[in-house]
Amino acid sequence: MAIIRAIPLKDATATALTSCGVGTAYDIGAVTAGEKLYAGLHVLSSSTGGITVRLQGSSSSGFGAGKFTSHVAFTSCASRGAQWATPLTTGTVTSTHQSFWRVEWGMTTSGESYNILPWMGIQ
Amino acid sequence: MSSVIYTDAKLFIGGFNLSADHNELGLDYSSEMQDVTTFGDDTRVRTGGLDTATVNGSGFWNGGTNNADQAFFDFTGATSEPLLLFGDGINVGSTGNQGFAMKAVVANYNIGNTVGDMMNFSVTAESAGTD
Repeated sequence: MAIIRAIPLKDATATALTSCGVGTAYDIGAVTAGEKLYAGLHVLSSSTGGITVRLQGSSSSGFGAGKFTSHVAFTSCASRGAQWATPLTTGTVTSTHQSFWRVEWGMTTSGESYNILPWMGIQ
Repeated sequence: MSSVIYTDAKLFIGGFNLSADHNELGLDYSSEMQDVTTFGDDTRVRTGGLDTATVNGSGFWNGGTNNADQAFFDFTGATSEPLLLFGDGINVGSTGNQGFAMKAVVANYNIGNTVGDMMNFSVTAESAGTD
């Protein structure tokens, strides 16, 4: 496939993230047979500590304890750059924690600053 | 039917937000059509082949560290970089107004204009796939 449709999961392009957190959960759907889950991360500015971003899925919007899975873990990024995660299939997305998706981000210490734009697509 | 006044396109390549550098952005998503016509057919028969995707952009040249010129110069012909394109703003969580993503290689980066005019650039980024 030459190009895919992408759904941004957090827009921190203008206002930087300065503490750890999770984004809003969105009902985007599950990966079905023949489809792939794509995910990417653009880091537009970065403190030196580095930011870690994970794509998490759950079968409900509440993301309760033990009811979600981190399907994609991007490499910690401490400088401007972008990552394209290895696409997942129904064979590699073994958790049933799907349909609702969000991103979680972490940083070394509060007060650091990161402008990021994570996205996903199922196609 | 909805229509869009084209004022809020967004382009990200690698770690660069290049939206404000452009005043033209376009996506060409195509299939290399193949001819499968055989004897007995009374019309040319085509079928879809390999997909291609190209993003074309142009705007005002912006030199200096961490600006568009650095991004395009470094990315031209280099290892593919994630490219993200939005036609009408960043719509977080929207399954209706999505963007487009591909691994892109900058194929060409052109700079210049005539004397007295704004110094422009144009750029073409081609898909290197999505896997």
